[in-house]
Amino acid sequence: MKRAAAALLALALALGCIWGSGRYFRGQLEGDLQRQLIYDTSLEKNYSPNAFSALRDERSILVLGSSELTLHEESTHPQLVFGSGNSDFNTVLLGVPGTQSLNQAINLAALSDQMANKKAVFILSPQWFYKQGVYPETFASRFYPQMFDAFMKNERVTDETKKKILRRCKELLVKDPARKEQVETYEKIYLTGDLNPLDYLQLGVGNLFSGLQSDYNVWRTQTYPHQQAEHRYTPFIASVKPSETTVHAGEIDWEALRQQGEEQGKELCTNNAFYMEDGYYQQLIRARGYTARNSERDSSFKVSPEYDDLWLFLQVAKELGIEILLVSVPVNGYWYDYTGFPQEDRKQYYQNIRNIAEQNGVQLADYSDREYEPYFLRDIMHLGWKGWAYLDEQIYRFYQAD
Amino acid sequence: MNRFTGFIRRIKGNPWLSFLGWTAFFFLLFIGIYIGLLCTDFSTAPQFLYNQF
Repeated sequence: MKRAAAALLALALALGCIWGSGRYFRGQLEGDLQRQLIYDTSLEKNYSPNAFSALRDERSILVLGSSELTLHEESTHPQLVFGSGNSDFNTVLLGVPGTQSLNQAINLAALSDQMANKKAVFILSPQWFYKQGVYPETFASRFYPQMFDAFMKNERVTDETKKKILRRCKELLVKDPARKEQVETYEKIYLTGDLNPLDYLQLGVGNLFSGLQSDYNVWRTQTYPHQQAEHRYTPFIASVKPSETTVHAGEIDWEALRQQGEEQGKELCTNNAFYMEDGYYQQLIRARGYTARNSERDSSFKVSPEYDDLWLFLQVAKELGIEILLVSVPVNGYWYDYTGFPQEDRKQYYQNIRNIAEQNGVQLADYSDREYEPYFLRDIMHLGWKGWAYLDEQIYRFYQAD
Repeated sequence: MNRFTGFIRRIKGNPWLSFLGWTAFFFLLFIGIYIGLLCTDFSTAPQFLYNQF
């Protein structure tokens, strides 16, 4: 009897400590760590909706994308242009390599309630639009349970759209049966009304813990950045601190920024005729040798399930009342010509994106005519020195427009 | 060792100290489980291999 009473008291004390630790982690994400999380692109951040609390500031805008968001050495990257968080305007970044339209549709709905500014930028990559669309392995590794939970609980997304997204999630989660089962449980609880109290309890407790764990992982990797998953830690990124003086975005000389981008690009692209950064070019040649020539003759971006996923993303945005700026990033024309990727197919892809933007009534930052503009990209596909300079200005104008 | 067993015997002899001892034991057990779970990666997703080339 005495031991049972002691166990009960200990349990109560432990639960109190667990609750307190949860409050502490969350408080850190919304307090001391908030500024450094704005431009962070670590994988852990994506798991926790609480890591995006900077969106509650009306002077912030959500920027969704994928691998291009990672800071390299471009001085025109939004993190450096907007003072790493010490600015009167910030872009809150969400995306890691492998994130595509369907993941971002879920993320957008998960974060929409936090967004004081009902605008978001979505940077598209042509490489998402290969014939097979997003790979099941890729989708599964970028599926964040906490984001999905918040998405399902968002009542402004219609059941019809939720059903479409769920159907696609189930298709893509074949490589992750445990997660697929979880999605099916959500479907039972929120859509088909087939409520089993045990399922509900299991999901609730699981979610409570998974939320706590996500917050803990963000706190841990912000405090000890070398513990980041997927070896995404680079000392360079960790060394970037908020600028000492506050940046006033309205005073930025965009023309000078583009000029600066061009000069930096010129300095860093010296060993190849494709206008790629030297180090990247060396790795590319090492990985693909000289066999890349004409290797993509049969590739295409014309038809892909990714187009339907993009439609779903825009449908979610519409239902949430979020204004979207789509960004159509070109491929590196010099390299894609070298690999034999048909120009006609590329043009058709750009046109498809224009059509989707028009049919959905969303704005489009169309850079498809810059395939051959030196230093627009840093490699074969990622925004580079000049590309970011153009986009920074476009994002700021989008933010300012009524 | 003698000092330790003597200490445990004294605790066992006192009902309040004994209760506190058991409470501390269970508390550490629960917190240990919590920390262990917190540090466990429950992800079942396949490993993502990023190949940008």
